[in-house]
Amino acid sequence: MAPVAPRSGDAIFASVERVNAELFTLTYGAIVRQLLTDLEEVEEVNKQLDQMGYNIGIRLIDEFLAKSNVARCVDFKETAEVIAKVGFKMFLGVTASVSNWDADGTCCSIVLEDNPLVDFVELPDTCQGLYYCNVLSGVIRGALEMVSMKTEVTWVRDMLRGDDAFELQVKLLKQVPEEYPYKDDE
Amino acid sequence: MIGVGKIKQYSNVLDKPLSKGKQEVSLSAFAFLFSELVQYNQTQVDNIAELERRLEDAGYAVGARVLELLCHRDKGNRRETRLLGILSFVHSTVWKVLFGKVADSLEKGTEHEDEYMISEKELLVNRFISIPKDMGTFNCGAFVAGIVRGVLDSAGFPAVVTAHFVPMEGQQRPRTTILIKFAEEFRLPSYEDSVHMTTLHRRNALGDIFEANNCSYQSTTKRSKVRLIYVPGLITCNVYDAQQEHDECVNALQQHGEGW
Repeated sequence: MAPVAPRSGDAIFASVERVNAELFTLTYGAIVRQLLTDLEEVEEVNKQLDQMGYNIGIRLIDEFLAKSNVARCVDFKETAEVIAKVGFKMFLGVTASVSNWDADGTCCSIVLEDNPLVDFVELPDTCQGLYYCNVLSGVIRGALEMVSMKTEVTWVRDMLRGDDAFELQVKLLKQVPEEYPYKDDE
Repeated sequence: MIGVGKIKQYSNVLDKPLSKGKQEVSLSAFAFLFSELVQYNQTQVDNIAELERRLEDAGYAVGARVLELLCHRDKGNRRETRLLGILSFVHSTVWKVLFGKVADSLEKGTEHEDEYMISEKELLVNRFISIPKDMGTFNCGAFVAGIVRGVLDSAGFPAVVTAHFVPMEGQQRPRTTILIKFAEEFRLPSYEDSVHMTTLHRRNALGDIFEANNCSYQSTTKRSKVRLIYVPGLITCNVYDAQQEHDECVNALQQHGEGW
C-alpha cells in the first residue's frame, strides 16, 4: 500500500528552518508599498502580486513535493485538503480549512484562520480595491499548474475589507494530461 | 482544534493586541518572497547602484517599523538615545528578532572615527543567493543595510549604510559587512554618554533649552548642571554635578558665540 499522505504539516513545519514571521510580514509590506508607488493603479498591483505569487508557486511546488512525502492525490478534493493542511502549514505555519464544495467537486473554498501576511495591516481609503494577499492566490495557481492542474483562484472574503475570514475560491478549470515522452531538448 | 471558527475582528488595527513576536514562517517562504523582491526590482532599474538603492528603500520601510515595534513591545516605549546604545540595540536586539541570532560582530572602523561595522558570516537574505559575475559587487545585503538605516534614522541617528562582501580566508563564501557611516553632525570626539541634539532647538529632560542658532543657553531649573561640548554642527551635553562645569560652559558658549 502506498504510504499514507500526512494529514497535517505540523511535523514538516517543525523540521524545516524557520524565520520570524514579523520579518516576513514587514518584508511583504515593503513589497506591496513599493508596487503601489511604482504602479500607482491598484489593479496593476493586484496583477503584479499575482504574478509574483505564480513565480513563487512554480518553484515552491518542488520543495513541497520533496519535503512533504505526499503521494499523488486521487482527486481534486484530496489536492485541496493537502494544500490547506500540509501546504499552508509547511510554509506559513498556519492551517487552513476547505469548504463549500460544488456538486462536481471541482470548485471549493480554502479558508484561512490565520494569515501572517496581514499583521499590522490596514488598507487606507485609496487602496480599497487592493487584494493585499493576492500573492497567495498566485502561489496556489502556479504550484497546481506544475502538477498539471489549471486553476482559477479568486478572493471571496478578505478580512482587510471587513469580512470575517480570508477565503480563497479555487476552481479547477482542466487537468492537463501529462505528455510522454518529455521533449527535453526542444 | 484551536482557532477554528470565528477569528476575532477588530475595527481598527490599533485595537488589536500586539503579537508577542513568537510566530514563525518557514525560511523558504521568506526566501521565495525575497527573491521575488529582488527580481521585481531588477526589472525596474538600469544599473546595480539603482538596484541596491531600491532594495535599501524596501529595507528602510522594514527598519523604521521594526524600531517602533520593538520599542513598544520590548523596551516599554523607550528607545536608545546614545550612539553606542542604538548600535548594540541593532546588533543584538534587532538582529535577534529578525534573524534569530545576534550578529557575529560589531566593530568600530579603524580608519574613520565615525564608521561602524556589523558583520555576519552568512547573512540570512544571502543564504540562497549567488551573484552572477557580470553583476560585480552587488550585494542583496543592501536590503539589510536598509533595515539598519531605517532603525538608525528613525531613532534620530541618520547614517549612510552599505553592504559589502568581505572575502574570508579558508571560507568559500565571503561574509557580509554592513558599514555604517554616521552623518556629518555625529562626528564627535567622544560618543559615550552623550545626548544628541539633532535639531538646533530642543528641550531636554531637565527642562533646559538650548538655542544653538543664536548661541544662548539657559537653564530653567537651577539645579541641573550641564556641560556643553562644542563640535561643529552638534551639541553634546552631559549632565554633571558640579556648578563649575555649568559656569564654564556658559563662558565657553559666550566665547564661541560668533562662530555659531
